[in-house]
Amino acid sequence: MSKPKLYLFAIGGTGSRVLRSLTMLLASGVKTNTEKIIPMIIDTDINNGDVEKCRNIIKNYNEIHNSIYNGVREDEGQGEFFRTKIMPPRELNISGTDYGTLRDMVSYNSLEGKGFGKTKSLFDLLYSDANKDMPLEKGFLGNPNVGSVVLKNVVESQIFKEFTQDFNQNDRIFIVSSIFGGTGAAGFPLLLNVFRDEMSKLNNGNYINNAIIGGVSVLPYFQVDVDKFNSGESAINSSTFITKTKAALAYYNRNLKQLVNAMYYVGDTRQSSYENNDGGIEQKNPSNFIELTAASAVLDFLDYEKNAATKDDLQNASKFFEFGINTDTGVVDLNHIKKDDLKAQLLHFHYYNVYVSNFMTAALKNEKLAWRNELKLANNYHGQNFYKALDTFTSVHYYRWLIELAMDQHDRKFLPFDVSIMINKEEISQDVSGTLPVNTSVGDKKLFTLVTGIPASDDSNFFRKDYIKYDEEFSKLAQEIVDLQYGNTERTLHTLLNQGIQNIIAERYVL
Amino acid sequence: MENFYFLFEDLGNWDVWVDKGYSAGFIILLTTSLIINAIYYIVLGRKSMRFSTMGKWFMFGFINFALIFLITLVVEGITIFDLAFGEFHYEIWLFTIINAFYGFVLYTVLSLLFKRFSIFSKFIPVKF
Repeated sequence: MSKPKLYLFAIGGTGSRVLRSLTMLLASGVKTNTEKIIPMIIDTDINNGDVEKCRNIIKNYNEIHNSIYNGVREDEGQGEFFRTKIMPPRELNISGTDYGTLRDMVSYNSLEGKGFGKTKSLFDLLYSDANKDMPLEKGFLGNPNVGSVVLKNVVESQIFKEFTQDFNQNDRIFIVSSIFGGTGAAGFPLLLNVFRDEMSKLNNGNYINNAIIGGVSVLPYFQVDVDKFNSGESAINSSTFITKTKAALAYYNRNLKQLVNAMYYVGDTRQSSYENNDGGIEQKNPSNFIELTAASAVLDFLDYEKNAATKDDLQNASKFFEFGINTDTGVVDLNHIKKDDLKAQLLHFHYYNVYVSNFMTAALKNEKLAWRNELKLANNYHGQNFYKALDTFTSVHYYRWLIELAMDQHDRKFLPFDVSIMINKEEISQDVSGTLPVNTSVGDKKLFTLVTGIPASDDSNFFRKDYIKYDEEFSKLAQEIVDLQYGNTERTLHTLLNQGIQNIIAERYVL
Repeated sequence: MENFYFLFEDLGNWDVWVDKGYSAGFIILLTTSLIINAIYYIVLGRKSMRFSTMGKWFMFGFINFALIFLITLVVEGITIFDLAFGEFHYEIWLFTIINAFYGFVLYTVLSLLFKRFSIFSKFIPVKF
């Protein structure tokens, strides 16, 4: 049986941020039981900064992935960086601007006519005037009751139809949403109901009805500045997050638990504090550890009963998971991660990124360097698209992600690696465009202390200083890798970097 | 062998040079250059990247030059010509200098053969 495709529905701002963290995990080379991941982004706020960031990172990821793995068999290169294919996100964005307000969308004024009295009364009962007049261009601003009406249009969209046409028998669906906001809280139940509706006339409806569906529901993990809500500058009030969560959980328990096969809950009592921006380009919340755990739920779901093709093949119709850490600490590092393979991949990937950002340009310019010559890389390889894509991923996306995870505004930071090597953190935290590259400075000594709390083994003594020598390791391996005759320079280079870094980590760390 | 050392001629001691002097110089030249190349490309060039630069390659070339100079001077002066220490013999100095320069040329030529046995210095001094 071929591996399933995963249709990953990322709803709202949280959905896009989880997708961003997932892309980082996939870039680090974690093994996945999927042929490819097809992100489906649902957000009515088409200008949302988080969505834009997510688009950029996946685009960059794909540039790298396609250069290396085009035409490569699925089972080859598992565990290498950027191995899993992520398709460009399909955006089921119904622009709120097109609808105006809820009042306009449902043609509320026409309900004044004869015969619609009861409908109008019911509508008035469910929606306040503020709900009715709320502009939809920035999402549902914590009002899932509004979202549940508007998002119904997603199902009618062309992209949703294309998704149903492409859906195969053993493909899986995973839905990422927050439970305490507007778009995610409204979208998750709506999608589940659509997918499980046996009467629906979707293309491949039978496959979709019987598909294994998972979801991660992100419980409150941040709060926003209440002053802006009180002054009317923002419509988001984080003091209602818990109440909304309780109500939604009760609803899920009553109506959804039989529809979903694997449900993950993540959340945190140690909350982050964000600026109160109700959508738009300014909504660029920093990455958060909780989003990373939600992303790891996606990977867990892919491994969940691997051999089951449909929901009928599962041992349990529904299973529920929660994420936890052993110690309630404000700073989470690699020591707190229980999954050894994830820990190892993150470590390898960090050393890889440090090489790309600090040493690779010099190596590519060094005409006498053995590995560079064995691979017959062009003299201007450092200026070519592939290397530029690697460098962009590292300096614009990866380091920024690490900086964001370690920001002071998080009451629980994720600090797996020493961020002091990043020298323009201040500029990065103020950069709204998200395109400013992070500058790093790493000396020979620093290479031994890149990982928080886990120093690399150092054999220095009175007579001899020990160094971590990337290029020496790569040069040792170069001939062997060239002999594999991939016929693709990028694949050869990438394999060399992967194996070389694996050797370095094996020599320096005991995981 | 006198043809190989065509730049040098000592008519006063022609027999000694032809009999032993040239061949001793050549053996010193060849042996030292082979050893230095083997150390540079096979011993160090497979162990560490520290020496895989043009600067280090020139340094080993200079070491080869200096060793040939010293060994030739000692062997020709003391063993072949049986001179006392401190005694000056112009032709021996001239031969020694020529042999040392030959040494650098031979080191370069041998480098082109030896570089293939190296891992890290495979593309030094030239890339092919």
